[in-house]
Amino acid sequence: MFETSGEYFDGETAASQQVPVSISPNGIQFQLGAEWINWPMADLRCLQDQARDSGMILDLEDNSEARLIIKDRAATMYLWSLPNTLTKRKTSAKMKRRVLLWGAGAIVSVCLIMFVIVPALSNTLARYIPIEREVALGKYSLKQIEWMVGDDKDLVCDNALGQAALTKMTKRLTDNFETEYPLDVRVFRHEMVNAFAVPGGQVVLFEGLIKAAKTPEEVAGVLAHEFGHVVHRDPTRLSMRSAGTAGLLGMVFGDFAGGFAALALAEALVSANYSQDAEAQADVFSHELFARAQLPSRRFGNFFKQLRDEHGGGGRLMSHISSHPDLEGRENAAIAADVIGDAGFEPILTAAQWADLQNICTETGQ
Amino acid sequence: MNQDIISSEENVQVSYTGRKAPLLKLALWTGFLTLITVGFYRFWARTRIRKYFWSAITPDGTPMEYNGTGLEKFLGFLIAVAVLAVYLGIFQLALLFFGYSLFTQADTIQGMIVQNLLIYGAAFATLPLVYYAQYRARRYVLSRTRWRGIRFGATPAAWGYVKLGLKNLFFTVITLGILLPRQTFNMEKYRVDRSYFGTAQFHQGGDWRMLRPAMKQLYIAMGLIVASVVVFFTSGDMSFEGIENGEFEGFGNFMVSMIILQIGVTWFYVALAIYGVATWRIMANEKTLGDDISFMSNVDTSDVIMAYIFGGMLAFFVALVGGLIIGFGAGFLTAMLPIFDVFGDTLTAMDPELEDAGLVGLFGGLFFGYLSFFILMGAIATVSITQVVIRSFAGSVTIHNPEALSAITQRAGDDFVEAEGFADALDVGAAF
Repeated sequence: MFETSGEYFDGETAASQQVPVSISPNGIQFQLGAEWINWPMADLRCLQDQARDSGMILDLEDNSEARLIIKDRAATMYLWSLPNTLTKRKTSAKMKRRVLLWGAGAIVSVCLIMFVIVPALSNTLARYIPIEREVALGKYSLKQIEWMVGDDKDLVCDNALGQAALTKMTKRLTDNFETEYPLDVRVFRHEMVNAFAVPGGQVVLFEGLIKAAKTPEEVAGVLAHEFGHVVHRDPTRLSMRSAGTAGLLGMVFGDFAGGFAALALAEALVSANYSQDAEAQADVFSHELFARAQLPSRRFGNFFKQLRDEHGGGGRLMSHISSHPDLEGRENAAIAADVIGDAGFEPILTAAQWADLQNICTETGQ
Repeated sequence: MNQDIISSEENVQVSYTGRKAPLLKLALWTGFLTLITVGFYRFWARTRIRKYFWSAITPDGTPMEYNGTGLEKFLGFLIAVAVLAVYLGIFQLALLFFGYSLFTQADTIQGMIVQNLLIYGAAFATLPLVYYAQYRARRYVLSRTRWRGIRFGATPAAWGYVKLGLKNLFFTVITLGILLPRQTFNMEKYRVDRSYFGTAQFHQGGDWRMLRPAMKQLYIAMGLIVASVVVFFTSGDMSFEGIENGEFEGFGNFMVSMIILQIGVTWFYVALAIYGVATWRIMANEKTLGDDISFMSNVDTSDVIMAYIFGGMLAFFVALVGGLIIGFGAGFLTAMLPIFDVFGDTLTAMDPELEDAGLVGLFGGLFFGYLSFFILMGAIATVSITQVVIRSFAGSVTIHNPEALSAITQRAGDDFVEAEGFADALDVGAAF
């Protein structure tokens, strides 16, 4: 039993009433006029995260209108020392139902937008972007990539002999398909084993990829694959999908860790999804293109095998080819699609031209 | 005795009782919980911090009370996601499509600026929703705010607010900002006149013209920005190619315009803060509650601006140093853990780049440091900026005739299912 005084607000008016209070293990009693009011211990709750060192504001679990403020430190310490449920507020069944219901709704909504609406809309909208705008967009993103990768160095490799070999290789492929995009292939001076296409028909091969290839057909295979992306408008579709998904995930995760989580997740999700069908489609395109150009796609299947052997099949994030899923499946598909077999074929480059291409990034062209 | 009577019955000062250490502890702890729940604790974190701030604001000796719950805010988030995800996803794609389709002369800086303007301009299409969400969010917070057991509240009138906001914004824009005070006043009056403490209604008195003096610094800043734009467009057409090679006409003009722009923009932000504080003070002095309760504020503009500048720098630098120490500390500790020797071979096999598997530990630690930076910065800013600003505003208020408060009676509760979900989703929620 502890006697103290408190300030009582009845929850009906803002008037303050000083009341004598007695605290016991059964709860709190206070005198209001002639009447003693009893707040049983089981229903007693106190406000939390309050900006004061001593004193507490009490209310009841079910009737949260009235308030009793006790300022005396000894009294509040006594109350805390008793068995109590002061910090245990119940969540109503109605609230729980609402959270479950809307939680399910939110998940359905996110899945719908991420896996149905955004992909479908990106595919449709990408078709309506004028080609020249896509080219401009591609140039712009290429500039940014150059700036990010290049540390102000001149990235583009273009010595005359290497360039001639690259042009010959490109022509053998482009002679065999139609596209409305102005195709433009260039080599970046960087050790990454990578290649990519930006919107508008610009394809970039990294020096590391050319160095890693054993034959020109392997490089041509990668090039044909990238042309597949160009023809299918994949870069434009991809960037639209990323943007749509990133915005949504930003909303889900808030600006957690500077928005990093949402962005990284969006990238990962979109590229994982993208690989599934876009990569397969680009592979099919490259096989058909090789057949039309009278080139053996078996030779470019070998490249996958070689990369798998060197990179252990798992793969690094930055390496374009080895990050594509299921290298073995792709290798088998390339071999199955081969129309040349053991018959001879006209190599895409002569031995000398192949040497020129491998040296495209050296200053003198040797 | 005499003094007591005068101070308690005629005028009473609102006091702010929050302190640094307990708030920092609360902010760090809730920040940590937010981190380990990949952000999902943020609703509870926000609610707990708000409870602290509210309970520190003490008019006439009785603290305010915030009794919203984290779960309520989480529910609001779920509703916003369920309702808005489709809208926002489609909207963002449409915006992007619009941006791509207009991607024309990106070879010049001017072209790029025009494009960006168009893209951001299109973003204004969400504005109706923003005003709607802001009104609703304010109504939610008021309905969860109590003093002496009596609820605050606002009447449901969000669509009217959208209409008023858009109309006033239109006039502000076409007059190049000259009618901004009119917008500020009209929107505040709309909100205040629909706000209640218990059964007593607030009223915003005065007239928009009283806010005009607060515009002075903004005019100066806008003048500088306009001047920089004028100089900029006299500097000729500049291609990216040309800039890389350092050769284009009007390089001098270009540099001058950039310097003026930089000064103008900085000035603009400071002026905006001055405007915000000054208009708050002027309008607070014209607010009344019920028939005979009025308010007075002498909030000091420089206190608020200094809190942003120095509080912001403090938060940033302390968090930076803390993040680096934690990152490298954790990094070196984990790198030395024997576990990475055991898994060393496996990791190297998975990825030949990781010749030294200890690097994984180091980078893991550094990433932890990176995340710590955000927690620290958020927590310190809560104390060094937000609390200082709240103290400046709340502590500056005097209530005239507080005796009349005792007669005010309770109002009905406001079941508010979606809480601040929409405002949070659109990132236009309150600052705390």
